Amino acid sequence: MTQASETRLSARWRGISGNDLAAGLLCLAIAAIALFNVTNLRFGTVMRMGPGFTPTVLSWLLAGFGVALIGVAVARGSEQMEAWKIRPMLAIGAAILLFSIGMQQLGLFATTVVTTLVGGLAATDSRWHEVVIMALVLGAACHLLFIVGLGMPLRAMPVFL
Amino acid sequence: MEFFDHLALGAEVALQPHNLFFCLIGALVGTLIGVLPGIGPVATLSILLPLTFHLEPTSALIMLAGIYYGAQYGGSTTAILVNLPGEASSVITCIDGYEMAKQGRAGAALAIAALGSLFAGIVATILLMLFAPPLASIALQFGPAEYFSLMLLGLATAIVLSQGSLLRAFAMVLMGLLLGTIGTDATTGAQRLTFGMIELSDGIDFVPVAVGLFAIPEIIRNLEFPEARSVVNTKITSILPTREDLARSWKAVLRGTGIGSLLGILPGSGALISSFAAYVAEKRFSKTPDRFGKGAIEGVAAPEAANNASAQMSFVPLLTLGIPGSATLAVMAGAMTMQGIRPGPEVMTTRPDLFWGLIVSMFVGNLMLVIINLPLIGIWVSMLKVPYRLLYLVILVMCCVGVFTVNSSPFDLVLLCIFSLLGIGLRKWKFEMAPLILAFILGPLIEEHLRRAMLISNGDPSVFVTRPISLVFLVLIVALIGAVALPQIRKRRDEAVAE
Repeated sequence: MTQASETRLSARWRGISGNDLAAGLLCLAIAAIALFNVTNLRFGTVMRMGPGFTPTVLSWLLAGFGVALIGVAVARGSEQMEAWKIRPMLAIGAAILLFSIGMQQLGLFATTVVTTLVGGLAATDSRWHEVVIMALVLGAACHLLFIVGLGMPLRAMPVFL
Repeated sequence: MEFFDHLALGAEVALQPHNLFFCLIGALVGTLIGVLPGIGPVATLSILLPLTFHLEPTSALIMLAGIYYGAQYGGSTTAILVNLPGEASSVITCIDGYEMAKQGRAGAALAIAALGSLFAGIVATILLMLFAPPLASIALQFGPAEYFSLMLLGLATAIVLSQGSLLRAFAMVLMGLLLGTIGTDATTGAQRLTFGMIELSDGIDFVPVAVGLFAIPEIIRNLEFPEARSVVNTKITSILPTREDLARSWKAVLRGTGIGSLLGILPGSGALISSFAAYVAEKRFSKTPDRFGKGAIEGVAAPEAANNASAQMSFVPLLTLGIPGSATLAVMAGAMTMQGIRPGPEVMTTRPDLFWGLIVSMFVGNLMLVIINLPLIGIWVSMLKVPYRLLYLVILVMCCVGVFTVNSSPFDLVLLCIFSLLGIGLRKWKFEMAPLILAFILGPLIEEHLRRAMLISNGDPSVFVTRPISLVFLVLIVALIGAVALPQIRKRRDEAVAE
């Protein structure tokens, strides 16, 4: 996010602390998700607690703190929020998910190479030849350490080989 | 004498060649992650956990413990030479350590940090040996009510000692407890919050949670805000401190050790709090407080001794009560559980070899660390010159492999993504992670003890206040929360009035 859009954002939220508001909403959201999913569980009594007892109580407490945080947001007034940078998040997220898929199909070496290459997109100062070398080195190192050295039961080679 | 019997038994285990080897590995890895900013002990221990499955429990714990206290040593190197905390707990060391380095006295600062840590580590380990047996014998009499209250006390301390707002710390604890309820209910077998997913029926493993909340957001943060790393450009000529340095710092080391040992034993406190308290105390009691911040060697000696003492002492609540006092110790508890050892007062009697072996290995490890850190300092400095654009790739791959190998489950990496996203958001909105992970680990235990206590008392909640030990814990909780909450409320009211 650029400087300009940050200023615009704080102007829109004038009088409310964005950090506290976001924090409060996150608590409310998690509490709500939990509450909707424990309705089918028996709450029980204090003496014989059902499986739903603890999650329900915790969710309501969390919701309470969410409301309190929103209250603080209003009371505290506007506050600078930190921008979200999309590029590193997308690249790292994709790298992790590709590792998940790769380990079922490609084996450790190839998966590590793919993950490193995609992960390399996260840094703005990456140099592609460095990333390629790192990918190969890390792939080889992982293979040697985990499969050859420690004998972990991991797929070594792609399924189609 | 009993003390020496324990020492002998422990030495017999810890000095076996393979245990020495794993102790060395732990110390080396600990120093490495301590030196490198951007990966801390919580994430490292989580990532390396799967590697320890194949080891026998004693060796595994010796290595993991070495990583934990080794990181305290390594962290000071980066703090002194680069003015960046290699570890959160060495933030304080930056203040005077970096000043000393700029004045060309980096060698003396490094030496005092390492020797102070060695002294503190040895004293704290002796204290651990003395305190553990009586504490464990008290703990053996604890019933579910006492355990419930004690664990709540641990969470309360974590809330009180976390930086930033109390509301957020409370919210983090609740989130952690809620995450801990996911999975099959232990008593009834009901599926709780599994969203119909079979993968969640065993609950969430703490490795993807810890790596997702600690390691990945740290990578993202470092990529968003690249930090200029400039290693101080003086040759480290001598690592020998002068006579004056020693004269100035030995008392500071003593005080730091005392403060760190005291604070470390409290569940919920961490090495950071200890080093901060030691620095503040040192400055307050100094006859020349204006030297602080300008390269005072006491400002290096005291916090470094304190954070290492605290790291050793924080094993007391885990080993004697079964209660991890910090996020890092929570991972240690997880490691013990995965090895089939339930942390608690019984460990000392059922597995004395493991218990005393682990403790004696701390003496050995601390000695190794001084050797690793002082003569080999050049190696660690050159590590610091590896640019972050290469380093984060290594960390990323280690995270992926570490999380995957826990259960060989692709789903755990999806969880890793989800918790990374949560972690990034939480950091941006100024939450602190430690209370969450602690609550996540303690949550299932707290619920189990709560249910048992209620069953035994026939649903009478007064059992928590009628049993004296439990009552003491509860009073402490109220006092702690009250002491911190009241000034905040008062301050806010004052601010409101002032407007």
